[in-house]
Amino acid sequence: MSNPAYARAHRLLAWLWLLALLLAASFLLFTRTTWQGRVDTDLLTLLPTDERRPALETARKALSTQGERQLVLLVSAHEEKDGGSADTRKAAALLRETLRELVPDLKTQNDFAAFPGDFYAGYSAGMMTDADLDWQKTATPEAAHARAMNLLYAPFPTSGVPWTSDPFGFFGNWLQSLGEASPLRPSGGEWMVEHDGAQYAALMYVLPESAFASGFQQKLMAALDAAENKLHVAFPASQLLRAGVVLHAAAATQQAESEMHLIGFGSLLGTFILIGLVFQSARALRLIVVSLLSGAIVALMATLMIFERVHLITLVFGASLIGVTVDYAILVFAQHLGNAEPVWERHRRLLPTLCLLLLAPVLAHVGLLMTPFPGLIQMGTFAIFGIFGAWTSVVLFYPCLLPKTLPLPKRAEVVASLLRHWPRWQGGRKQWGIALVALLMLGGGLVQLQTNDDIRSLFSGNPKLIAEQLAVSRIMQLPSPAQIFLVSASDEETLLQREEALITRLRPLMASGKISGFEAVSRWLPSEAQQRDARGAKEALQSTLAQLQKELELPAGWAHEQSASNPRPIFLTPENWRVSPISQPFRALWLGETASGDGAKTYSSMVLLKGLADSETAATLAQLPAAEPAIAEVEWVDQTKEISRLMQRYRLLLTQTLLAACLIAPLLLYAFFRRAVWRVITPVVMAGLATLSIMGYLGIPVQLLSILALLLTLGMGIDYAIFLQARQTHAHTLLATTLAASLTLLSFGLLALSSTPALHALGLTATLGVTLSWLLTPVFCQRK
Amino acid sequence: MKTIFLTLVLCFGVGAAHAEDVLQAVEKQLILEPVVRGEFVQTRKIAQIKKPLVSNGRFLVARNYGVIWENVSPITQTTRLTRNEIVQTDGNTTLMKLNAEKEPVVRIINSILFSVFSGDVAALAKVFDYSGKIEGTRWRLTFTPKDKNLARLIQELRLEGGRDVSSVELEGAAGDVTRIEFKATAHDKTLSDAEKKQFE
Repeated sequence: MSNPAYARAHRLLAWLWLLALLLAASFLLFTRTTWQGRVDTDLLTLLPTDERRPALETARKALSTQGERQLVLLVSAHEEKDGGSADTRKAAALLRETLRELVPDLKTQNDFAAFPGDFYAGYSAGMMTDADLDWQKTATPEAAHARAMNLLYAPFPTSGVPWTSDPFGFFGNWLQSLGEASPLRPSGGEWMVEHDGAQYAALMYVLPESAFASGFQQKLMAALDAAENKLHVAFPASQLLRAGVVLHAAAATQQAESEMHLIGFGSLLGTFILIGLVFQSARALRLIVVSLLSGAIVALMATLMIFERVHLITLVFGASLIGVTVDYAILVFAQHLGNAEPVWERHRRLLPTLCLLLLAPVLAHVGLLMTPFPGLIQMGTFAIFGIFGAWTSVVLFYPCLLPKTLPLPKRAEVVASLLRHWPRWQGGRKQWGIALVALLMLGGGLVQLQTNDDIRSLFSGNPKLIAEQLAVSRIMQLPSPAQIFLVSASDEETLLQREEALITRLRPLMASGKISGFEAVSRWLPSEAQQRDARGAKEALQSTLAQLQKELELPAGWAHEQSASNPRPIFLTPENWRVSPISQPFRALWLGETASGDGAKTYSSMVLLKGLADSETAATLAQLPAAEPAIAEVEWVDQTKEISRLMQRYRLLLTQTLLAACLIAPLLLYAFFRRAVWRVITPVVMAGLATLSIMGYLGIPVQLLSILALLLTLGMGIDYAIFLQARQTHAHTLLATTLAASLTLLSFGLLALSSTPALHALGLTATLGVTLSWLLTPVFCQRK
Repeated sequence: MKTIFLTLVLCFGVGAAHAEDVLQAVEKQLILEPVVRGEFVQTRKIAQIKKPLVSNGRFLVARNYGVIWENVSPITQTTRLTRNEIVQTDGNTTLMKLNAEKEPVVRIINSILFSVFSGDVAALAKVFDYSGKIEGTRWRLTFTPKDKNLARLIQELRLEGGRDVSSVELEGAAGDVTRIEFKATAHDKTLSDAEKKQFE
């Protein structure tokens, strides 16, 4: 193809690309409010999903949907131990009033939750504790009679159930046993809980919007702050403890937004200053701005098309891509300096190198797509499209945007000449000696390398908020979502029976203080088998009932009514329970029908634990299902451990990928560089090893994200080496790589400042890796 | 019209002031000593049971310790209330044991019952609305729970007395009425060693 024809075809493509970019840009601009509302701040969406276990996924979803909208405020005026709790109640009322307009608390909405006794009274015949069932088995008629008489003459009622409908106190005891579900007790118009001698009032909220709806989130946080200030003015000694996903989400949003601005503005400012200083040309900036904008438009457009929502963390990471995408413009630009060759000639000659340059970083980011973490996949997608967008714009627009020739500025010449004096590898005895010492030092660091697969190395919350959350969980004895029992069965009745069998085995652990309690649906909805047993127990007491009827001159038929021979046995069924308001707080535990592959139905539920004493107990609990045939189909899920295991698996997988990339890259590059390929690969590999070694010396553990960062470093380092090698040791090229590397460094350096551990690790490792590969690349470059 | 309004306001004002006075006046009359001993007769009326259920026994109320309630006839049964526990025994076997750590309501119930049996009407006024009247040395106070949930256990509480509480009438939520009459009430400053042991 002749030059004019080449240029024509090229111009056409450039126009088409421009049109596409403008269309995408206007689309993004016009639908701004819609997609900005879809920016996700939920860190949990970054967690991996496990497709192989649908019931577990349903469980996780249920836990997070329920948790997402919950907010609990615990307030204490901290009065004297026996001085009552009038001020605490007043403090609670003050908070309720202040927040009422934005969110009414549950008590305001429907006063106190329905009294369990009212709902269960209709099913009382089937409600009996295990202890009473055991008692009945061995009770003599005399003992049963004595029990009823004792209750009849007791000086005061303790259950609120009339004696004539519960002569043995079975139902009263069962109702009382529900009390172990929560330490909250209604008193004086508030839900009160005592902890360490202090009285707390609990205000509970179910938020009308998701914790991650940013508009509502901000309004709520402002209202909470105002309410807290008001509280401390009225009750200076008072303490307010808050717990809820919304608090963490708000803190994370605020943090991510400020980081995104810091990284974005920092990178842009650095880019403009450096380019302005070196090239002293406004034309240079034009190309850079165009390539950055195209990168951003393409990345955002593609992410919005592929994913339902864009995650804020993706945007933070995206801001650090500025340093990477700007590289193409700089590298191309540098080629023009002091070069008199016609533009189209140069373009054709440079195109193969540019294509090669696109390949390495794109392939490096494919590593992110290989993880099971939705957030990382999104980051990878964003990066790949961003890089592609910027690259395409540079390739298509630069012949049009750049002047035909550009004089090499004096300042640039100074930088370039400085780099020309960079040490070179020549393979002399002295250099081999240095290399050997360097390699030994490198090895010294590598052997000290530690690894970390803890979920906290990806995300960590605000420590103050976490402390508050823990305090609330302790005081209110909330179950932990971190470790759960997942119970499954082919029908609902078997499911409830399995839960009951599991709970029977948890009781000894509760008695020995290894766990403080549990939360399960079967506490509120006994299985039909259990209800039948209770009826049977009463049937067995028929003679005692008849005796009581006679002695006390009770109406005829009373004894018969009390026993199970009732002609219309009413069992509490899962349907009855589910539709009653009484089940509202526990419905999330009931997962219902969960998908199953082979057509057979599977029903699942969760049993949550409270106050797990130590990891030893966790190990005991994990062994429980295997040891007991009755609960063999119960599954112990330690979510923290599962995620760590998953992270470890993917860390190892990515390490293998990294090693494979180190082996495959030279084979691919051989086509271009032939025997000089070692000069391209050696600095990058050495830089990677040195990065790991430094981390070893500094005691920074290697985690999933560090390996990903090394993969990215490999991509970028190979780019520098390709460019330096392909263009030989041209002063311009050295200048360009230096500039490109320093801008990449700036972006990753800023990313290392992030307080999200995942981004921090990524930024830190990449900063080290890019610095080292930039320092080492010229060393191995072929001397002309 | 104006006068009617004024009368109403005055009535309410007077009513409130009156109630306040009743409580203070009753408190002034009552002998409040750390230890009270005596006997009781309990009469319970239950909706479906025609004959009232009568029982009798002894009681001991001690500040900082709690209440011992001994039913002697027709059944033997001891109920012990301490700050953290309600324990009911039948001779040697424990019939019922409620612990405040497991069931926080125990503390609320115990403090109410302690106030009732020791005649601490001021403490009762914190959780109940009250009204009452005094005729000479005799007084009568009626308490209704402020809290809806407490009303599920106690609908109304009526105390009568002079220098001592002479009777307590408790109306349960199910319509059962329990009347306890105190006899031979004696006051003391300290507990005997044997009595202290009962609280252990």
